[in-house]
Amino acid sequence: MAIKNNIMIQCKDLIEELHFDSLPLEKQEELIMRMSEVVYDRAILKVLEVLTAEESVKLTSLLGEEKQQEAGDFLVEKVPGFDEIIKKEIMDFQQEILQTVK
Amino acid sequence: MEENKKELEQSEKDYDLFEEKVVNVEKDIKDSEGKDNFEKEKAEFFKLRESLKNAKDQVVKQQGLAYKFGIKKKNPASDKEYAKIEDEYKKMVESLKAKGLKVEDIIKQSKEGGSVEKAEAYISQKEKEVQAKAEQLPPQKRELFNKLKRLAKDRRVQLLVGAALVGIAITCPPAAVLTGGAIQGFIPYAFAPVAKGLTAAAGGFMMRGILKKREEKKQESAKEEPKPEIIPEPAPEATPEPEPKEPAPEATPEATPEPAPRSVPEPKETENYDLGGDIPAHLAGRFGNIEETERKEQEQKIGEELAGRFGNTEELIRKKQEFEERRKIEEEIATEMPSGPEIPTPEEAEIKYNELEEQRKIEEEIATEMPSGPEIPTPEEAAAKFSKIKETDEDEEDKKKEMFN
Repeated sequence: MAIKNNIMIQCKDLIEELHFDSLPLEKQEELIMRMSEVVYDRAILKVLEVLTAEESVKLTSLLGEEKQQEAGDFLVEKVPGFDEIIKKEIMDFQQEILQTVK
Repeated sequence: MEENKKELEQSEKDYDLFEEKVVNVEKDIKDSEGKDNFEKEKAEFFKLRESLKNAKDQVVKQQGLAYKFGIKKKNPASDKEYAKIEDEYKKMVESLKAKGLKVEDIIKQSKEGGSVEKAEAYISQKEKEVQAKAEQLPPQKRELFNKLKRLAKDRRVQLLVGAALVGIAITCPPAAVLTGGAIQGFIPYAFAPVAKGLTAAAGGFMMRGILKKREEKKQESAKEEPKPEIIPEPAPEATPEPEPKEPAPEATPEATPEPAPRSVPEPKETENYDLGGDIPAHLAGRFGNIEETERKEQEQKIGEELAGRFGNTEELIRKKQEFEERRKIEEEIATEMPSGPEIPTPEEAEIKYNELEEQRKIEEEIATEMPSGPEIPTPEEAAAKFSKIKETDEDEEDKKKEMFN
């Protein structure tokens, strides 16, 4: 199966930007994983805003049947600009946290 | 008399006030000096802390493979330096404690401490916001939200997001990010050894591996040690230089080590890596035993070619010994190659690759110098030729005798 329409994500290094370099790795890891979860959840919420109730049910069932590929295709079809959502969420989050902390 | 008494009382009051003022001024001076001293101590503490971190990094770096195998020269002063700074740091911490100060509090007051607190507060706030929004979703969407969350629960997906957050360039199909599809293949080459463990280990551990790698890469790029100069030259061969018959093997695409795509991964169009699978094919074998297998095949081939041939026996024995030594060294390297998160960095792997490649070239040169089949007669051929010549000589002698008689 060919992989098409890849997105390229290249952001700032938050560890460096927020001066977390001198923190122990465990702490760095904890912070990054928490940030990742927030970004991921926000991306899901953005996608859910676009989907209808029926579409949500269908997607849930596809994922339940472990048809990840079909679920992915379905998302791309039903959510316009889906490819940019995750990228935008990461970028926005970085910008927000840098503005807040600095 | 009464007036004098009043004046005297007033003077005493004035003096008391003056004295109080002097005491206050002296106290202020002492306070400001104390503050200055504290600031100085704090600055010294952070300076020492930074030095300790650098010294420790240096010591850790010198425990790497390149130093272990003697590819890079170890600086013996580093350990002493680290021990000295560590000792100074401990003394300083003790002295701060004696003054009733806590190191943790000082760090918290610093830039890094402040950033952490602010960042944690921000993350907590966003977590609450997300939670609140999720609770307001209609039941069908709520179910899907939970489903997608569960998919990411093992943090495979979040690992990718996390890698992006620390500035690692990621290229992947967007659907994969959300649905937990192919992720492993999209972790850049430099982090691939860490990502390999995705199938078994928890995401948290993987993230730590990525952060560790990130730190190592930062240190390496900061120091920028020249690599080619440190690589020891292969031992000069006693055999005569072969004629430059063919281009050097490094000109061939097989022999050229692939440049490591450190920043942007290029997943092949035709490849799709499953989470349950092993490391991608184009990455596999970079740290493995491909060279060793090739070398063994080469050695076996040479052995077969040499079997039963005439030649310089001493030379052959010497070369055999050299092969044996190389084989032992390579075996040692192969057994000492760490696995998992301690896998060598791409730079170290590249050095090792080049080293093995040079050895392989030497072996190839030796192989080409060896006499090949058609040029050297077999013992039977030589014996036949010898007897033929002998017969001819005998015939000629007989003819001469007949002529003289």
